[in-house]
Amino acid sequence: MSNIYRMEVRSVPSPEPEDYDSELSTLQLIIDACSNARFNPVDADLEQFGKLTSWISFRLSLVSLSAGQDGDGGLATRLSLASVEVALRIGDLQQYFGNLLDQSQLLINYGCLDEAIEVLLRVVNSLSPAADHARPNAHISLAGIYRMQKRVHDALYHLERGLRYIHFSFTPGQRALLLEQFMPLYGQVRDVAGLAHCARHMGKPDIAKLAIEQVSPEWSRDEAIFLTSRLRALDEHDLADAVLAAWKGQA
Amino acid sequence: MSFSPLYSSSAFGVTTPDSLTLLINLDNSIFGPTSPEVAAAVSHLCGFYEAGEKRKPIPADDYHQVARDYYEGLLRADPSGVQSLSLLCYVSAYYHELRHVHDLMSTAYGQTVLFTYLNYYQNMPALVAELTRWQERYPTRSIKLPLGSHLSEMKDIDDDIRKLILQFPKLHGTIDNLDPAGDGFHGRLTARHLLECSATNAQTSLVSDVFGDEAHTRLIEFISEGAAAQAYWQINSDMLEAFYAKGFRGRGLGKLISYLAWCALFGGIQGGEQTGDGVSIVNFYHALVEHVVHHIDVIDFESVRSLVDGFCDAWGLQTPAGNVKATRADLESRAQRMEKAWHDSGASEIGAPLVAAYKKIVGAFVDINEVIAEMPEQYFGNYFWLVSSGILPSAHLFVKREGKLLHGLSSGTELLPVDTWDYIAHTASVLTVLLDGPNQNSDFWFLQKDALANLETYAPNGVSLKLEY
Repeated sequence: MSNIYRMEVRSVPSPEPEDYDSELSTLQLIIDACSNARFNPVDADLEQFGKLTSWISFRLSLVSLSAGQDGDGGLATRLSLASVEVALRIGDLQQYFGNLLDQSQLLINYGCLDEAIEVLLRVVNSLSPAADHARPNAHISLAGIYRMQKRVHDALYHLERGLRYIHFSFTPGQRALLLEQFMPLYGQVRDVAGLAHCARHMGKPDIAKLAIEQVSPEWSRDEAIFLTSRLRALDEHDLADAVLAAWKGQA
Repeated sequence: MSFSPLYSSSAFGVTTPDSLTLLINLDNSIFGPTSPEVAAAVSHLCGFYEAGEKRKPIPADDYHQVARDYYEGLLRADPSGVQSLSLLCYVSAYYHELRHVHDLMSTAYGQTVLFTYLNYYQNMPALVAELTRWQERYPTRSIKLPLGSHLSEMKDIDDDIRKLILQFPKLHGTIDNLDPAGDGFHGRLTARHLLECSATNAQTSLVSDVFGDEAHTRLIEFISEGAAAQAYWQINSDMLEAFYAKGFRGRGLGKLISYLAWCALFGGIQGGEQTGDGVSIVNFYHALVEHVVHHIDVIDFESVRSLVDGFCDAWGLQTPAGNVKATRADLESRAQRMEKAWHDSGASEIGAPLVAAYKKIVGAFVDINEVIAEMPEQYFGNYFWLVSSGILPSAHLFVKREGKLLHGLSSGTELLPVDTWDYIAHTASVLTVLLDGPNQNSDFWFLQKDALANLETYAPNGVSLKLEY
């Protein structure tokens, strides 16, 4: 599943422990409990292991990813559930949504794509501001999964929702890498705006301009407005202005 | 959305667009049977009174306190929170449903949906009369429902009525075509999403204003977890993300989003019908969103209105104010054509009730748009206050409570008397049972049951209809 793109950026600072020794000890006890296959973190009295904190929740999530990479899916799942449960119990919703992202990554790595979609939709459908930091990653991950599942429109919809955030934060190299994966999908659905956007960011600005040159005053208003708003959604405002001018015969 | 009712989240309320009838079921909800305490509180807060009931309406100045007292009382009495959440859902669902009625009446899209239905309803008397004649010819045979599936068994039925029955599926198509499914971009939005977004914003804004932030958060979480959350939240979450990505942090986007949705609900129909070069509703909505998000500096209502006007000017489209004016002229012309058609057919008296009702509904378009023009921020951002002030037209309302069916009008200026609304709802129900077939799972089964009973006892010449379904 390595070809599902995921942004390697954390948009909120990692939590720090207030009392390192004590929290480390609690963390270790929870990890030990999770090594028992019959332990269910969702029902468990996690407070019995010590004071729960954001740092513990954060570390549990990281350990779950690590266990997943080591091939222990059962342990990884229990640790991930524990990380989410700790975040919920201490009311740290930012950490909760961050951990859901990690959980989705775990599920993706194990090929459980439908379950990963379910987790990611919990992030993107939440209206809580605490989910804001997790939304870009969630959208990009959803785009990747849908691309794998050949759900082209769903993939492009979430790609573009994710792109809104990263217009200003991605490096040109990161963006090109991402768009390279999705450009064929735009081709499949013959979306001029998407193709122009990909072309421009993959060092082919002339192709992007060519795409716009087909616009003429003969186009219906609906077609021209559709293309313009698609371009604006992709942050291609110069091209959008060019479409309006061409449609008005002013190009 | 042809014939599909519009539900508030988790179906605490429902509106049927074919007769603008609103139903609140205070006996049952997704939480199970509704407690008498919640039903009483909702009835008091929403003004659902039985004839002769002594409870007085709540003075506007006391409303917030009374509402919070009910809410906090239920929170104390039921620490699980189910009762208090139920109260929030019911009260806000009532305003959610009312908003559907007002959005349908105040936009070109909604008015076209209503006209499409009413235009068809005009044929109900002729349809029933022909069925009666057929039954008189074949007194031992039964009329099988839905009619369209059994027309071959009614060979000598009048040709015009046969055409009418066969046209019925096209009515669904006509309404669906007002709201065509997108090609996948824009997240497959439809006009229904715009209506739900507007109604949900009215609903959550009421809860925030009256019950406070904690209640607001609870309601939002509840709606977010619902099976149909996507329909209610998609537009809001898209817009919140767009503004967040632009650096906006804070609240108050709801009224701006609702305004853009409302403007878009004029889009496709206006241009498509009048110039043949219009913009589809969803396309128009997205174009407005992208234009506003790109150009806005100060996030306030006036800036958004000005940007919308600027967009329309740039693309040669009518501004929202121009759309209202043009739609009004179009609707008044439709009403005149409807009246003339009845006159020319020599049956003015039969058509008079529906023609009169339609003229009033056109009048409501004018009235609501005058309120919106005068107080746009109230309509889009403080709808609860506007309804409470009684200056918007009332809606046709059914409330199920303690096994009884209360029936009347919501607060507001009287658009149509209850009897006329009943006639419209009855006409819609008669057509539904005859042409779609009776549906016991419908929220409005009680209306369908009445329609069936009336049909089965209707015997102007001594032969009653034998319906088989």
